[in-house]
Amino acid sequence: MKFKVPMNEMQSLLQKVMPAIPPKATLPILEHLHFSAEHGKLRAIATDQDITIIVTINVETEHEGSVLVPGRRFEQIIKLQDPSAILEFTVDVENLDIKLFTGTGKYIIKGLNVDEYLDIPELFKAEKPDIEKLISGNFKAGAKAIFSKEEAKFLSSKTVFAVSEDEYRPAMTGVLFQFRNEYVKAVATDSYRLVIAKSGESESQYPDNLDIILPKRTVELLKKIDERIEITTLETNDRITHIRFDVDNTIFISKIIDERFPPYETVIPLENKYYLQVSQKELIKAINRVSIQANTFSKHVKLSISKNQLVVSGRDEDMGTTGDETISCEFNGDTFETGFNFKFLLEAVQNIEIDEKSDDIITIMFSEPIKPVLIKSNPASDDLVMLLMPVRIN
Amino acid sequence: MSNKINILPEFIANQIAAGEVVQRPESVVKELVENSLDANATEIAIIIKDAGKQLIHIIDNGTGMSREDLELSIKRHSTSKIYTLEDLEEIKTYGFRGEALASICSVAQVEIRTRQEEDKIGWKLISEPLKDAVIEPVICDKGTQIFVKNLFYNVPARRKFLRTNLTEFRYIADTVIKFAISNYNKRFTFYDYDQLIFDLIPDTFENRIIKTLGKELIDHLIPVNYSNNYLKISGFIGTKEIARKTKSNQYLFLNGRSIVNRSINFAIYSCYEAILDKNKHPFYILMLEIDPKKVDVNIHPQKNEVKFDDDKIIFNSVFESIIKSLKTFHQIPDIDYFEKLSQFPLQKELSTHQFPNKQQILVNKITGEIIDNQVSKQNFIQPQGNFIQGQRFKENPKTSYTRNFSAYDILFGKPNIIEKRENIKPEELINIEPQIKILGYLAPKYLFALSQDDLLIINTFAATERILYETFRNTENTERLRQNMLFPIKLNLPQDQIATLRMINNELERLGFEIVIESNSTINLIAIPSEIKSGDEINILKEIIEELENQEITEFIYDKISLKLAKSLALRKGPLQTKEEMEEFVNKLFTTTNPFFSPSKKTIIKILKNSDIDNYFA
Repeated sequence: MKFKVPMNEMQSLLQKVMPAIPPKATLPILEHLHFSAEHGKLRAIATDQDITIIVTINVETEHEGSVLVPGRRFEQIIKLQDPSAILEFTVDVENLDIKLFTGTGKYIIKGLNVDEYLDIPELFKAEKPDIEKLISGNFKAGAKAIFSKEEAKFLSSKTVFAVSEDEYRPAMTGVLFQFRNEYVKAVATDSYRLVIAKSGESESQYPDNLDIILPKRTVELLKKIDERIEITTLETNDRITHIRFDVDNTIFISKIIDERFPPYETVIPLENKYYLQVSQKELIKAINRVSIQANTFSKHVKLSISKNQLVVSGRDEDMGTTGDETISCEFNGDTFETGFNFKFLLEAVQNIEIDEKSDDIITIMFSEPIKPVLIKSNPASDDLVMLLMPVRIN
Repeated sequence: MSNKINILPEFIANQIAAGEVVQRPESVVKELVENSLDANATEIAIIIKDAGKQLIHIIDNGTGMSREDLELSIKRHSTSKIYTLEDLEEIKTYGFRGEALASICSVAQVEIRTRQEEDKIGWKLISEPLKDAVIEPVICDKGTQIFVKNLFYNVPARRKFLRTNLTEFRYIADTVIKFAISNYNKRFTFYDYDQLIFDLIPDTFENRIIKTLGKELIDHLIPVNYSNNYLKISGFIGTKEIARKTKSNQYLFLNGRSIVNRSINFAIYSCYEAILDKNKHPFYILMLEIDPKKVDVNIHPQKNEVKFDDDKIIFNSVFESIIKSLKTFHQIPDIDYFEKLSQFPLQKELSTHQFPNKQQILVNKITGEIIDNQVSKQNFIQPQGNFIQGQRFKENPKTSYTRNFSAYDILFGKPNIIEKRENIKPEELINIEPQIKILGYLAPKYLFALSQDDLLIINTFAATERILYETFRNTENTERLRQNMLFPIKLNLPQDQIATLRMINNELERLGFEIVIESNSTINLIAIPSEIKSGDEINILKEIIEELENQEITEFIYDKISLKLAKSLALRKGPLQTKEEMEEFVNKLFTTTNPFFSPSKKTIIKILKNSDIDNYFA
């Protein structure tokens, strides 16, 4: 196996595939990249079994073939090379030594036989890795969707922080994507807060009535993509097991979380009598300031709201410390008192994107003291809704 | 139809009451000695025969009774001790229910001889069950003598239930000892048949204790002296050397009355948690004085159980008083007081849980020296003045304060230095918090800090356990934060765990959990204490249930759960991130009652002295 490729193209390939290489793989074989070169193309595959990334680039092939490349070491070497250099990649058929020529340097690393590459059982039912089948599209594809540029980024970056760590409730360890023909909603909750991001772009395409939960890691990867994405669901025995994203020269396959997402619509209070409107910047500052004084374990801050003024306070009974910040606000009730975990409150408030109409003002909507509060950029907007469960005092 | 409801004849009513008041000979002794004390006797003799079954004879030099009083005294609900309902709310005497003598008379032959000081002649009353009492004049000393003969002779069932003579005698002796201890300024004489058990003349409290409980207590009694707006605590606690495997040697008196009280008992055990093994019981003799209005003694005929208006204040006060004494007398480990004392600045501390009124107290954190509140207040207002007036304390020539006052600086602005090291009186020592400099962090567990010349290694897990445990304990009944969930967690549990959960659910709720038990196998977790991190809810709940499952759940459930929760949270504690966080953590640790040991007795701080380190390199 032998090919030549501009260094910068190899560098960009590695940037794309490496996220699928687990930091500490349970199986050492997974720390390898599967390289195969034929017909002037190099295909690189990386997988941690949950996520598989396949990137294809054009190369100058001299001898076709394939090899397993130790991923991290290869990346370390390539990263430091001059991007304008040409990389010559040769594999010794005898001992699978990989020789790298960079113009100024020569490196030898140990490759492995591709036969040792792991089967990806969830994805490919075949006994041997059947990546070909996937690439050729010879599988049962389900629904198709298209995300316009930056849509995936918006939906994932606004939701992924609220994903639960609770292994007992796997559905909540991912982000729910709800496709509804005209729009898509991404929903995440850890049961203390819930976030709903909604998008309906004209150049996008959404299937009708499709609900899929994507694992947190997958969504983290989507966050980094600001390209148009083609989405295909992959089915086994008429059940969706995986989802495939096609971005430019990259194919990105992830397993889905095959669970029922909690019925989040039922917990959104329908009647919210009270509206608090307050400057997002001021509120963030206030929370940051008083949280220093709050108990480090309970992380509790209190909001005391009256007509024109909001007092944010943190205190620590054990230390005898208190901190209050007063900011002006508009409130349509008389007084209201509630409390939150300051970390959750801060993340919720920071997450809200202010549209031009709102002018730094966010709206917090209350119904009853123990019901969740809604945080939005303005009462009418439903592009981004945060729900936050208050902390009650016994 | 004939009527079926009758008013009980008085005699039967008395016998029923006797079942509650007079359970055994010891009860008679208790009731009668209480009467003597209420009659202001200064000398009381108790003579017992056949463990009280044959004879209980009490002689006192109290006020005595008139003929009319004597006649009334054996009637039910006759009492000289309360007159109005208001009196009942403010009981200062031992007796008040007016049922003791009447009850005793219904189950024994009783003879009473009594004379008031002003009367020339006394009166004798002879009472036998079901017979009218006979009263006749008699020549006798001032005071009252009561003979109770053949107790329970007419109630064979009850007589049968009495234990062996030895056991019954022990009950009596124990009661007499309790009276003798709490009334140390009175003379008590105690005979078994003709044999003198003791004759105790009025004495100091400490001497009386040693005379009644044994000489081995000398050098092992730690005085307790404490008072706040609510109550006064005095008495003695024991060093760990005299802790026993049984619960004998524990005496608790409330306004002179011997009582048992779980809350107080638990406070005491909590103080000893770090120094005693689990199977050892501390020695204590504590006298609590409290406004009678704030306590209800009328919840049990035997009156050894009481109900406080505010259990938490009682708990905290007892806890604080004992911790203070233990620290003062070096029972709780400490950074070397007398070396360090000279060098640490004062720090202000808001004493939160101990003082309900949130007083600011000034504490020399390393020594635990607490500075008189009034003094500190005055000087707080006038920061220019000398912080502590030197003449308040005697000078100790050994060392003097050096200028190291950064913490003081922060708190009070301009430095005012105490130039003289004081001779610390035991009462003036309390908390300890050295000025500590964080050196480094061996994540996630160990924090290294410098305190003067000592290197402290702080186990942050054990420290977290201590901090959280105290937070939970301090917020019991006050403010626990409860984080509700949008989606309750449905959880399947084995039946026996559900059964355990049912027993502890109240306490879990007080800690901030909200759990609905749906069936014998499923629960819904609706809210959690806000300290629990997302993802840990179920594991922590399961750990608590498992822990409690293997214990006999009887008392202190809240504390047991608190401890387990604190432990579980401590194990899951994330690493400390910033230097500020580390400093706050250490400060917090030093606001706890015992920063050196976790409630489950793990070492929190290991101190390496400079000399220790020298030794490593020797």
